Amino acid sequence: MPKNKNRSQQDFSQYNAMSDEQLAEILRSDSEAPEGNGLDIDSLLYITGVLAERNTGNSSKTAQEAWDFFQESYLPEQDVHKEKASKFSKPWFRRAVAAAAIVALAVIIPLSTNALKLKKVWNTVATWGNGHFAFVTDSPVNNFDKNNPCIFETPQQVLPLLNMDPAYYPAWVPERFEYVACSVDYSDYTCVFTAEYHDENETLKVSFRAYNGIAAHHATDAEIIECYTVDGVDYYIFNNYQRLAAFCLRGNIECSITGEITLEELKAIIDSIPKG
Amino acid sequence: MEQEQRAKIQSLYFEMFDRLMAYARSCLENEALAEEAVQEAFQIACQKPDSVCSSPNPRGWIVNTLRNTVRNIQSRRASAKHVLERYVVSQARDLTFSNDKLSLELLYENVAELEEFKLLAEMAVEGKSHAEMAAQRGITVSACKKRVQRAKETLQKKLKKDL
Repeated sequence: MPKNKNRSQQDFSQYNAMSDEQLAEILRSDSEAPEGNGLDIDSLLYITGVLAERNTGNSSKTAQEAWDFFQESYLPEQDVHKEKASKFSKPWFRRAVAAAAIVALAVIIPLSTNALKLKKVWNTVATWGNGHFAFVTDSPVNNFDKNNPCIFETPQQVLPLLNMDPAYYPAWVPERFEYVACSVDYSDYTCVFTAEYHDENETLKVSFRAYNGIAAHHATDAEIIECYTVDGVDYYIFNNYQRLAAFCLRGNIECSITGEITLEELKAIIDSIPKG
Repeated sequence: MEQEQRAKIQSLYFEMFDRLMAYARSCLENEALAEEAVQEAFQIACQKPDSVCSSPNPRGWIVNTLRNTVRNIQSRRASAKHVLERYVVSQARDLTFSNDKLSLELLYENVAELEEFKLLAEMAVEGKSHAEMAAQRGITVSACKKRVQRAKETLQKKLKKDL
């Protein structure tokens, strides 16, 4: 398709004499051409203008009807997309979080010696209701083993440093999700590891929380969906404000998976956990 | 998106709608898919209002975006069709090499029960737009797009298990 770069001298009258099918074929060729090799914009707009004028009234929708439908069905989606476009979508922020996680591991506050001892007997109750879900335990946090900082290629590599078993980490997540970063938040009473994955518009998080007697309340907006048991481990699945969430307790560590995923995907993630 | 930007995009919408539909209709040969391509182009414009409004040629910006959404729709249909064909062939192969005497008609009937297969078939074979499939199911366009994506992943996963 020849590209006429001198637009002021372009003669579009040739298109007036062409049939609808001939004009449509030109447009189809344009859509199949490699980027930059198609029609110039002026020619394209002229051709489409000829077709539009010839076929006025033949469309299933008027521009006004289409605009109304656009506002109703497409515009709210882009507003949601904007809300969910978190800082994590920016590469510089992802790198900053990863760097902060490494720095955090290097400059920790040592736990008291009492906290280093693990109780053998746990008193754990799972409760839900009144819009919240929680585990309550009187066990102390695991010992946080100080180590020299290093670069982690996978989130699983961080877990042994937190005395958390990487075999509890899912071996599979839906392919549309890309690993973004992990973070470690800690205090004298809790240590929370979170790995975050992103799809274009959706987020998936895998978290491990080791805590000492503090109930981790999770707000819910619906009844619990089911208790999904795998290899003797109970995963409590419920809606958490338009996200599915699954929580289980392993010793004093609360493991959770939350995200905009289907129930089938969530169960597949759970099924992939090596230690069940 | 600022009010001024929204007004400008709306103005472009009304000015160009018929021409853009003519382009998309010629390329996709399907009214519903043509509308989907145009709607998605303006959805992208609303996601990037600064880019559109500061462009020296906003009409050209919209046209180039439409070219991409048309290609995306063609690509989605081809991809879905490919997954469907592989899945049906894999099921037929299993039956061919088994002692089961099931006929192909029964195979298709069993496969057709899968919501995933129906969804992809509607898109790839029947050429339905997300808006049409969403309306049939009483869900939003956004939810329909997610279901299509998950349907493709489900069948791809089943294909990997079968291999």
